Amino acid sequence: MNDLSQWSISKDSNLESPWIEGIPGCGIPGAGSLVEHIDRQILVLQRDGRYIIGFLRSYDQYANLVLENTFERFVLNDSYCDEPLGVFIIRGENVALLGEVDGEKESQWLSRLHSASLEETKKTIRERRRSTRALLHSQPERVEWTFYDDVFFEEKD
Amino acid sequence: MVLPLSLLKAAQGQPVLVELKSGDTYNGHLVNIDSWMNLNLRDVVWTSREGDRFWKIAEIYVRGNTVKYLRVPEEIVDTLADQQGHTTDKSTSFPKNRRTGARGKRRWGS
Repeated sequence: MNDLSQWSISKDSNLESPWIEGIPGCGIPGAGSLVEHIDRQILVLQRDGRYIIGFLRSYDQYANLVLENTFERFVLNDSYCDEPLGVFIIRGENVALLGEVDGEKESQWLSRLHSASLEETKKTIRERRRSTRALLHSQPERVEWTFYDDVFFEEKD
Repeated sequence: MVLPLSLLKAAQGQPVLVELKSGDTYNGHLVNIDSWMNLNLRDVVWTSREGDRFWKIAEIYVRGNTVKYLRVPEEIVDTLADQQGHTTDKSTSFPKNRRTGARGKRRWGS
């Protein structure tokens, strides 16, 4: 742990941090400028379409993220709901989009929605998924492909 | 703050929740983790994608690249900060009541 701890991310740049010289606040190469977001509340859109909000505590070169005081936000037509998730580590691959939360704008936006209970929201989401799946399954599930071994022999001739 | 993988390393022996890209979730005690995020879990409860079916498994190995996200107990962050003698004044950068939610109440993996 100790040899890794020198790779700690800290906003106060000091000699022990792995900064690239001459580029202030560049942080870890490959993860863009995420250092700007450290200890700020950020919203992450995952590749599966779910929204995660939390305080960014750490990240690495793959954009794996550590979030604290995380919650998932569900938004339905006119209601929203937050599910607390604690400490959350997202594998970088699954991050589609990431940005800082503007508290003021967020509360303005939320004031136009009403907050629903988690059970209610999840139930609605489950029903929606079920109907989507039913729709999917009403269509042919798979295209039939046939491979003819003799095609290769024909080409040889 | 420590790197994500170091945090996971520190979470060894703790109950964790792993969701795979497939949507299945695995609750269990973290036995081992490597730098590819490959995991060994013990005393696992596997939950289907729909969340309606559950299986108990004594021990499993999860290949790192199938992981979508992990949840770890909140206490780990505190213990790590203590170990490192982390002295940055956090109170300036985020609200004091930040520790709300499920802290200390939720346990995964059993």
